[in-house]
Amino acid sequence: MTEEEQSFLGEQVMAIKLPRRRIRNEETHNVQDMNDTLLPVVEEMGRLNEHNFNSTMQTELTLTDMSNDVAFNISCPSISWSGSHVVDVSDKGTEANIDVALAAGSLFRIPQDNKWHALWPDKLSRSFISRDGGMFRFLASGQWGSERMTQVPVSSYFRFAFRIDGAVIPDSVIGDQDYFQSNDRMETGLAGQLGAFLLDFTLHLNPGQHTVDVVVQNLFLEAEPRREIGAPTVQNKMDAYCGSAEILIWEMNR
Amino acid sequence: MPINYDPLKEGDKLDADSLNDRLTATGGAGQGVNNLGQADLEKKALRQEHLPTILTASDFPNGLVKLAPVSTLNSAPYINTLNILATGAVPVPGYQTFDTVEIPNAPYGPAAAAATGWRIIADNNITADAAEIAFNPLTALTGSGNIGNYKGLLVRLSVELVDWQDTASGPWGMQGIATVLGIGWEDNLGRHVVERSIRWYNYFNVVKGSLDLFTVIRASDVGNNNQISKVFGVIASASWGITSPNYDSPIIRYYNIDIIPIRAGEIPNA
Repeated sequence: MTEEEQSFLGEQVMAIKLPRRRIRNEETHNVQDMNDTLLPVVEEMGRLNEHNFNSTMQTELTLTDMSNDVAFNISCPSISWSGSHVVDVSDKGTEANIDVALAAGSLFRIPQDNKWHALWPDKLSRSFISRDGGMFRFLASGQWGSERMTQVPVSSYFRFAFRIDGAVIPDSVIGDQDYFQSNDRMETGLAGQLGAFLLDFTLHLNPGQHTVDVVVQNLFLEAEPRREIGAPTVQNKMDAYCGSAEILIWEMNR
Repeated sequence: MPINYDPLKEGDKLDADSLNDRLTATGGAGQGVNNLGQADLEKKALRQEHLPTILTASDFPNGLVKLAPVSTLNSAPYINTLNILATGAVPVPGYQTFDTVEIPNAPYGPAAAAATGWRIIADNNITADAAEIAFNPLTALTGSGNIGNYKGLLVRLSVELVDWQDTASGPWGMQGIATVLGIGWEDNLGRHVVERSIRWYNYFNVVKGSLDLFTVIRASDVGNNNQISKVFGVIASASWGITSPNYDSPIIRYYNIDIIPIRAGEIPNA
């Protein structure tokens, strides 16, 4: 035992062992004395609950918001973080509208370069601290679209996943991962015209700082570049974008 | 680590035996102070038994999950223009109109006939089978951000898209028909759809499969002092730019909805 530990124990008034001595018949017994002796110990040790913590300790217990309620910690649109965005995709879809919306930041352009990218990081990425670590549940959903055409217009396919602390988590990837392609337009991912995705994933995180991104990988089979802003829309040269989206990060350790 | 002590009362027999029984209970046998297990002492020894219940059962007498009936048939091909379509008129996230065509069960559906507005998903228009969960009214307070005792209501909806009815093929690509799903709630002011939950599934993207979405309903959605009492899933079919509702329409079968009330604080920023 270190000197520091000895000092710590010496300063503490703790019921390390009960009873300190056994009671004998020849002793004089008093009900109130006995209750006064035993109950405080029992109250502290046996009925310990959130009310036993002082205010200082409450602020240190970040695994749950004790001062406000007793449950979990979450990050979602409800608390001091956007965590979501509503986009009226219905008035997008034409070159002019897309360009205006992208310029205004009300759409997020999905890079079409076959690489993983954070999807709308201003809205869906979050860095946070987990004091004690534990199990987390992550949910994210979003709408994607490309420009409106009357013919089969696009050869983009998408995969979505969570990227946690810089690493794309393979088990969280959605979109067809079957690389056996019977057709160069099939079985490569979620078709990139107009659709929606839902990611729902649980993962154990260590204590400390973490960064969570929703990431998207575009697979542009025809090796055609996306349309440049202001350039006319032609087949295989269109913008792909993300519309409405929402994310929930749920620290499940109580 | 529950340690129980039975306090002595006036008139109780007081001798060594009765006292030692109490000392044994608190100190020795079972889970007494001298017999705490490792789990009682290590980090996170405070567990759920030390904390209040996170869910007030009386708030949700109908449970937290609602499934489509096992015997459900293919729901009728669902044709819903959502809006009265003129060329280029299309549904928008803020659209809040519910269908009233199928009296008396509107807006439950899908409906076989063309309709306008959202339908609350219900096999064969039977209200009891609807993808909705009713609960005792919870008051939203925007100041605290609470709905009842909860910081938010996590709602998930999944719908099985069986097929598309091939009646008269509409245009391909972005202007083709889409199944549109959303999550809504009912409060003392009526029915509403959560705008950010609305998702389009174009039939060029998905022919059959599970259409999944979620949202967290928060106090600011419901509005201060309003009382939310139901959550539900809504469906529509829609298109960008066509004028007729008589093109291919989605056929759905099974569905489920679940609600998880979350009592929570906030994860601290990095």
